[in-house]
Amino acid sequence: MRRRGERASARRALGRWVRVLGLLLAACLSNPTTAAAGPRTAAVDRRITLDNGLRLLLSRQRSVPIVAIECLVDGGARVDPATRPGLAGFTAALLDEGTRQHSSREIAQLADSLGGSFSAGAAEDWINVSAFFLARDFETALELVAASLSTPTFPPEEVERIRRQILGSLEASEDEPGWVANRAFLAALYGQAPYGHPIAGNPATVKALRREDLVAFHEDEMSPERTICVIVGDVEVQTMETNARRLLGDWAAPAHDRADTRPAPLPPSAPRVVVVDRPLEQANVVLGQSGVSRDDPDYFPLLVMNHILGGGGFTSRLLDTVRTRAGLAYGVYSHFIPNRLPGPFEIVLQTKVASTAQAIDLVRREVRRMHDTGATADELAAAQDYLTGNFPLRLDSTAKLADLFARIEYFGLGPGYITTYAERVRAVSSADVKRVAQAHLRPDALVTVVVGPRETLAGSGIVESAGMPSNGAVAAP
Amino acid sequence: MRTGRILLRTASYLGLVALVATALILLPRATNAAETYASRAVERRLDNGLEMILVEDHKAPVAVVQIWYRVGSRNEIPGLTGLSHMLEHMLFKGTERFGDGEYSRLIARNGGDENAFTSDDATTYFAKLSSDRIDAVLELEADRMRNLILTQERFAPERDVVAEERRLRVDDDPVSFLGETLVANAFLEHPYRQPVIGWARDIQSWTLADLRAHYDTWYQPNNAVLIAVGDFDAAALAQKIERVFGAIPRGPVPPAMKVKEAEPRGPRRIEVPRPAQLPFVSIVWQVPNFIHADGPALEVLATVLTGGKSSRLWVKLVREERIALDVSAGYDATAIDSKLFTLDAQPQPDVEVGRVEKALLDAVALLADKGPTEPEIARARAQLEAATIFAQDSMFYRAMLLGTWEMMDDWRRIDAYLPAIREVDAADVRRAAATWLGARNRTIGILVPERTTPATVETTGR
Repeated sequence: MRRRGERASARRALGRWVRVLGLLLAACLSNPTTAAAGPRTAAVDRRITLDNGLRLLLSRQRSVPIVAIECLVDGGARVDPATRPGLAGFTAALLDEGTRQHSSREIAQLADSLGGSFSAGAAEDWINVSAFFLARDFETALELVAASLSTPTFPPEEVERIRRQILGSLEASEDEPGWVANRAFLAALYGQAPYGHPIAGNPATVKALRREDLVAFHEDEMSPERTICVIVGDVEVQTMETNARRLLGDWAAPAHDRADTRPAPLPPSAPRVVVVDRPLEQANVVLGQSGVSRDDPDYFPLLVMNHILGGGGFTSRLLDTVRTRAGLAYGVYSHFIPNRLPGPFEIVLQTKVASTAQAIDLVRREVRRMHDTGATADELAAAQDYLTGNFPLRLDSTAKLADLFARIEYFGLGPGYITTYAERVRAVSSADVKRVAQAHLRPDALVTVVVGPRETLAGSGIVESAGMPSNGAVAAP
Repeated sequence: MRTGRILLRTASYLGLVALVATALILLPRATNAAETYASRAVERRLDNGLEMILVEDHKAPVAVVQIWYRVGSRNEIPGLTGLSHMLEHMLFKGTERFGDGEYSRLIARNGGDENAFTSDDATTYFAKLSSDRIDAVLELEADRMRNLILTQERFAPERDVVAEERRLRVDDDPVSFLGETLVANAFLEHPYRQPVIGWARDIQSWTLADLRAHYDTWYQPNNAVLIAVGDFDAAALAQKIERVFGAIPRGPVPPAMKVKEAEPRGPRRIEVPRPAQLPFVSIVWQVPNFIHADGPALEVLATVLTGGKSSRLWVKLVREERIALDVSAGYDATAIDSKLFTLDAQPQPDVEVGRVEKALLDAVALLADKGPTEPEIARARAQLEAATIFAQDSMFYRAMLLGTWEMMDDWRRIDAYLPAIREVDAADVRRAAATWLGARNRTIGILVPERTTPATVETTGR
């Protein structure tokens, strides 16, 4: 077979949006009703806060002789200055390109000679440094991670190389319609606010960023107090702790005060249609609005509601309506992306240009129906069965556990989160589903982005169907 | 290369495609001799010809069940390309006993994830769920093996879905479009030249009768392999499978695929114009699969070329000369028939694509002449060995491996993979490059961007 996955990643390495997985991911966070059948050792064995404030979560997993290290530093593209989008992403891309210990080349050779993988990158809410190695190479892996976090050197030569990579990737991303649609959607929704720009920034700002900016970002924004490191794998817990103290305990970057980055709540988005002109066979459509933050008290009802609406794959209303019955799309789904700050609610689909207006109309009807009438008892029960029963599947590997533990800690979900998850899913009532649908879905205020051939789209009535009230007022062309 | 050689039933699983493709090159290594696949798997064949391969894995209370049918685009004829993949979609459309969509609803109700995918060589259905729910999957799979209801009503909208899938994966993805055209040019006769999803016009012309015939020919117990990996008792599961599947009568022997590709008569080079921002270069060579004596050396060669940021091509093109954004090599180690070794590169925006093409060819020529260095061989070996251990982390990968190797030839060969890799030395790699990566069996594809006017954003108020 061909290594299709590698190929597919070639164009996306740097430029793409690194999406927080949102509610879909959160669905993996636990399931106590099946606790008896649940992962046998899916627990954090030791949780330590080092003197410098770095939080450490350690979990021994004996099934396979490997180890995963996942460190998250709060910040990420969310804290990019409005004038310098891409700063966090650029900084993160340099973390594995030279430290006081090793040059960029040495890091690459070391990782490859052990068959391990080691990388750094940025997401909306954090910068992550990750390593996946054989358990026997644990100390080397942790040394690489620790040096990248605490003593990156930002070698000028590597800064220029990475700058070129980012610029090239941004240009390559223009050939990915889904990426173009998402960028336009978030820009329309958030503008200059956090989450409004691609993590990789844009060509003008990436060209203008100086090495000093990256160094300053590392010094000001990356500190042990803002860092969570999770180690999961077939290594003695005591060995994990001893080495983590030795390698991460001396990292003494002061945490500079960060102004509260939580902006004033966005006003409800005005309904608008954004068309990005591209010569495509399919219109790439994103409809949505601003959503919720991860600490929203309606998180669980929203999880269930969205599962029924468009999160539940082949059993969701959107897929049933748009794909199965109408044959208008291959993929269609909805999700909330509940970040540290309110992230978007999005519905994504692709359809042949001629059926764009029809597909958008079907989506809007489904959002309206959920908003007005909620879900049936059967739909609720099916969603709860899936969400609770699916949990053990999401905890069956070392890599998944490391990711899960990091997110539970990052979002402050608490050690009891795992044991109460299913209860909380089961506690959602039909009334809750209807209530959160009415509180959080705004069918008349959806922002609609369409990437496709503008002239054909204009002739198909897309603007009218997507952007106009049903009373038929005339929209601007 | 994004040629859509493996297709999944829905886009929400697109990430899985990468996993699946990667899985095919990551081979679990038993940590000691007593734990080889051969010693741990239970293999049985029922009287009706259904084969089963069951491997216990107790690290979590989960099981993966896959059923592999020995049919893919490799078994299709011109005019009916894509039929295997279309049929894969239809398998979710219901039987007498379970209605349209019921398969998905029942698996979801049991907390499980399910999907299916089609490649050149096989069509695979899978479910992953809590291991105490395996029975539900067995019943559903046994039922739809022979009892599918195919109606025009269910077929028509699903054909439209597949047409949309093609637009998404191929027509609006310039690199994928290049790949489809390139592969069609790399083979003159062998059906590997056909896209798994089917040519656009074929998608519009299939009939219900075509689907019916395809189903009756290929969906028989004697053309299927059931694979399970997970937290179960293999002997007990085997009995259960016999009970559920045993009553299905053996079907006619499916027709053999007789086409043999002629001796390569390259070199060939094609240019594919397409609306795009950037060019792309992809070079393919016809090569034998892993069973061939040079197979292990080709596998090591791919890793020497682009395995990690210390690999030869990555260092040269991305780090030093900075003429490419990325470069990757791929080897179809487990294809049933001789297939392709691929080198892909994304040129930097300000670099002439021909310069990248030449750099790739020069690097291959140098390897064919001088061979790799010892440190390069050592790093490649370490990466392939570690990858086999990482692969054990996922039950799904493990099932994928069993199925892929069994489709090619025999799943027991998995145990021979690492020993063969360990024996590869620099001279073997040099010889493999000299023998297989020459001009005669080479086809080069260049994506030539047809730049359009700069994109504009228009905002319309209410």
